[in-house]
Amino acid sequence: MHYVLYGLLLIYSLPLIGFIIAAFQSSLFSENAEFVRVASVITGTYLSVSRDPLGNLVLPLVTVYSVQLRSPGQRVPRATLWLLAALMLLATAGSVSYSLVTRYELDIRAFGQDVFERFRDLTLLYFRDALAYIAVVLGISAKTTDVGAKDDQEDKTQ
Amino acid sequence: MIKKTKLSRLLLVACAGLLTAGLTRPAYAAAVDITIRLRSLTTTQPVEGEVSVETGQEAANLSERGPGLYRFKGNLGVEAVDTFEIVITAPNPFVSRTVPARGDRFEKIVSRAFTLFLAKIGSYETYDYLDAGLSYFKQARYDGALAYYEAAFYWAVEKRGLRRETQYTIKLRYNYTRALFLTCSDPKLEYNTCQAAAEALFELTGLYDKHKRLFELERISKDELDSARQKALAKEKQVKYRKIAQLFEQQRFLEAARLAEEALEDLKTDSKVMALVGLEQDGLLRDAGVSYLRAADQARARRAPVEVIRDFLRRAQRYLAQLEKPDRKDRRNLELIEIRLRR
Repeated sequence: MHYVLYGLLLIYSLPLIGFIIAAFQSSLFSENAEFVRVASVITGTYLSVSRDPLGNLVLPLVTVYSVQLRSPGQRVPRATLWLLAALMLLATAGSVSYSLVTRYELDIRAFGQDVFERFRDLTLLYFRDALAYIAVVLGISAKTTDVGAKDDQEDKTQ
Repeated sequence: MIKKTKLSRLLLVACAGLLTAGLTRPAYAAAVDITIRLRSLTTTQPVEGEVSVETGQEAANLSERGPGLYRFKGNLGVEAVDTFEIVITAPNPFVSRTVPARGDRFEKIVSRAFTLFLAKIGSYETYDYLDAGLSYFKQARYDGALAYYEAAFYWAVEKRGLRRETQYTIKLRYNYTRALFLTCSDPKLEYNTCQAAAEALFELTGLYDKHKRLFELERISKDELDSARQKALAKEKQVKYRKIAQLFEQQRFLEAARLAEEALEDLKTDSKVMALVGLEQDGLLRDAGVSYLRAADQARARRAPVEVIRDFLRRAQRYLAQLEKPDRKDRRNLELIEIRLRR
């Protein structure tokens, strides 16, 4: 399940990766690099077509199913920690990207009227989504399976 | 001979002063006859706005004579000036602008007709906007290009502060400067934008080393900027000093001589630029010398005091004697001056 989740996270992060490459390639939007426009088009398509099903449905569900429940006294599994780290990285990347977008607003607007709005919406979305997924992962991994164990004990005594 | 008493000396100085001032001071009031046609840059349809002309001394509103046609005929101050500004207050959605035009302090009436274009308020911040304006250069619509890039430049200065140089700001600066340069050097327009172009080019040259890559991306070389700056300054000098020949032809010798003297002063500080215009030391010395010689003739015909005539002759002698390669005519003039001064 983890491979599926990381694969989906990668697909989900592609527009953000595109934005980061665009920022580097244009020396923080100071050069008229064509890739900025390409990244903007990818972002536009992503925001209008695939963001809602992927970010609101597929990823949360797969994330929920990927997090292992743990029994009382068991440490948080390594896989869950890696997933948390990946999501934190995504949140950080989203946050840093958002600050870049707002800092270089006028330089980004030079690439086209809607480029700035697209990048702003995109980076803010990643930050918010990643925080929500982190909350989901933390919530599930904090919960132990002791409720199920108690039920089993009660059944045996009866 | 004038008896050298205190009174006669005073009279002499006064006469010389009056004669010199009368001949060298701008002789005319700032009489202008200006016609302006306002056009939309995109559609070339007439645009109605408010137009005024300012000389620094006075301002006058132009009256509308038809759709987008404005005219003013009258005086704009007591002295004719070399430059004036046309201030256009444009209606929405056009951008107001100020056009620096050339007058002429040696002309009786400055008669000029302009067709001025007004750019619409647009999305100045994009590369697309800057690229779209290049067509005005291709079509040789330099006033249009100036209106177009000026609107974006002032927007950028106000909104961005031009603090961080990017390819956009370099492209904007370069094209605005190019428009300034072409409106100054185009013989049909000859706006008073040469100095502004030279200053903007100097600023661009200063930015070149720090932002070399941005300039390279725009395919702008430092040599190109340097040479354009020299040309802008040369055009300014050319417009100013071509009057020497015209004044000489009009037999306004003293004014021609004074202008040649100014050119000689400029030659000391800006010999490279003056060489570009084709103004060299010997030519200017000859202009100044011969003009003073003719001015002396003129003063004698007007029965000016002898000291004034002698002063002109001495000046003529001083300039002609400095010639590196005097020709036969120059030598003859020097002999003539020598004889007259001995009398």
